[in-house]
Amino acid sequence: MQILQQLIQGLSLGSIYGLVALGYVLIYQAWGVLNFAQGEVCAIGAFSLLVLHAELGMPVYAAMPVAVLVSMLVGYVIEFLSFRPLENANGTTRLIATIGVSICVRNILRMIFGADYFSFPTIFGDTPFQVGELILVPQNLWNTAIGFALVALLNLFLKKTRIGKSMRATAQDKEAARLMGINVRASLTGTFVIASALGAIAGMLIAPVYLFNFNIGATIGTKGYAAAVLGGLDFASGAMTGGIILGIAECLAVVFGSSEYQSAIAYIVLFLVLILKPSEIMSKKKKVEKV
Amino acid sequence: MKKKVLCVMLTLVMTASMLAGCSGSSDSASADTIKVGVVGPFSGSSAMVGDTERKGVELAANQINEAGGINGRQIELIEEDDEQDPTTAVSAINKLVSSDNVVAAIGTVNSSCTLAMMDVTESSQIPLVTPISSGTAITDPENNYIVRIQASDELQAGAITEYAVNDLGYTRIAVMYQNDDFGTGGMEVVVNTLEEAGLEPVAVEAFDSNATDLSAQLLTIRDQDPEAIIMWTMYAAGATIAMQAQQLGIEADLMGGGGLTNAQLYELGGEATVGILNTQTFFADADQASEEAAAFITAYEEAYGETPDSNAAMAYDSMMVLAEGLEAAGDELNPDDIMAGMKAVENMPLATGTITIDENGDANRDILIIRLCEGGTYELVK
Repeated sequence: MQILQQLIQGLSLGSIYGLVALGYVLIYQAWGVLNFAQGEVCAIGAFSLLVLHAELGMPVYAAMPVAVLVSMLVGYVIEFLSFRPLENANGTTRLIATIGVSICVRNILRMIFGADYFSFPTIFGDTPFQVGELILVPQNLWNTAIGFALVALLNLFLKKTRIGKSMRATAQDKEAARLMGINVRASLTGTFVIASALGAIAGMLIAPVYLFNFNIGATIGTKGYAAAVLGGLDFASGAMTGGIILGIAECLAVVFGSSEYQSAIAYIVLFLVLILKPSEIMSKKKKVEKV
Repeated sequence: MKKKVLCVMLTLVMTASMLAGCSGSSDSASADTIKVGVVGPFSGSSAMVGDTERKGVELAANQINEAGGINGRQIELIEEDDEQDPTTAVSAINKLVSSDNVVAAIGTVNSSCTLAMMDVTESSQIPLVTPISSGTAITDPENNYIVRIQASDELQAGAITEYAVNDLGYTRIAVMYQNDDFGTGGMEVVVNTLEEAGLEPVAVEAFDSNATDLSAQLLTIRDQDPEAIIMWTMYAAGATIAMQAQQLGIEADLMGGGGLTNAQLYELGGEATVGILNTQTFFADADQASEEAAAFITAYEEAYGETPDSNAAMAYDSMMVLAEGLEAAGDELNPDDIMAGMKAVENMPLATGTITIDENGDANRDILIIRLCEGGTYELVK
């Protein structure tokens, strides 16, 4: 029972990591760069929801879509100011630019909200209920469900819709896509904005479960990054799988290992993937450099 | 021609900067003020604590200056932000020591930062008074230039463990600690104190101070069915532990150190945090307080329009203890004399109680134990 309970905790934690990872993967596929500001977009989602709901008194179901829109707008601004001007710069330059954006956004959040922690009223209920010996929290279950639903929706969107297809085409080969009459510019921007929306949703799911402050983006961003790398930086399902494996690994580390090393799990994962399967990450880079 | 002009200009600039340098140093030599550095996390996740630290020190310095200063000289505070980052803390103290030429410094909050700064202050012989850091490693007998006002974790963790064992009669105690200098130091004292009482902790679990989810640790602890969980961490993680423990149906008493005392603990954790017991050096109730503490509470409320917390009180006391040292060191302000003056402090009534500085620089004092009540108020239990 103990193990099962830990698995459930790991699953709900992991599905949030997966959502964050999804943002990394989408942007990586389209732009060929890891966007280290992805965690910050989650933070913006969480803080927008906080302001709209807790400060301005908007009902939570109205506040959620507005918070997503705000984050998409912020995503657009980030893309416009730091990705677009560097589109043809080398990989390292662009990577450093995303780190710069992340530090900048984090500190803007700190200037606005201070260093205090915030708690957000539960959306789906946080009164636990028992099934046998298992303790289940509605909010956590919903988080897992929403995480999986978004992956499925994203898959559908990318595979079935025209916009989705042109995004995938752009991700695979910009030149060819351009020759096929696809608006590459719009596809790139669209991918970025969608990744920001996903990040914002991840942030909004974290807010009612955990305490957060301006620094949440850094914490969750690292986990999402590790999950994305573990999932092979491939499309949707890989990111989600990576997230869940990481979430469960973090919980099981406490049971079978020592809690002292729990926070190291994400880094150990990164380390192992880079040592054992560097090709997963390198392949895309090479392709992009060629372009 | 151009080159000549450039040469002349460069010469002028260099001469000017030399002259400026001279006048600068002669200023500090005539020294009508005593420069004291203040390092704190004025930004970053402990910025709240940094802010009250600064207010406490400033209040004390203003009071001292208004009363005529130290041996006729005014105290001048120079503040630097450590961003709660040990690397930044080292740059901050380096700047204070080498370019501001402070004679002593007060700081900081985070134990890892204070430990990092101590290397600099020791090698440049600058007395450092840390108001808030409680890490056990700080008052290392080998460092002669440190004084700590905060009750050390040694004192605090010992006191809360003894309270759990002796006053509450608990035998099944679990320990949770944040995985850094501060948390580990506290955890070791708790475990040792339990051992001295012939007990073994039923579980010892670590967590990252930035971690959002602690349910894995709590589930492991729940299996051991403890009567109390002693947690060595700050208020935010304390609130998370309280909320998740409640969700997971853990009924053990939660207790910990002074880092838990913060209005935010109840605001964040709500009902789940009611009943948390923790050690404290200061209890902001002017009616129950000593004369000195009451005077401090009133002055602080007048100056800032808010009730001081323990951090403000300890920062205030830091400046007061440092003033004793500065006073004793006369006009020379020899660092060893300043240290001797501070270590001579004995049974001095201050905002956080009656303080005696021991030979390692630690403030010995009585420890209070307070309990968080409904509505976020505190009551004194011991």
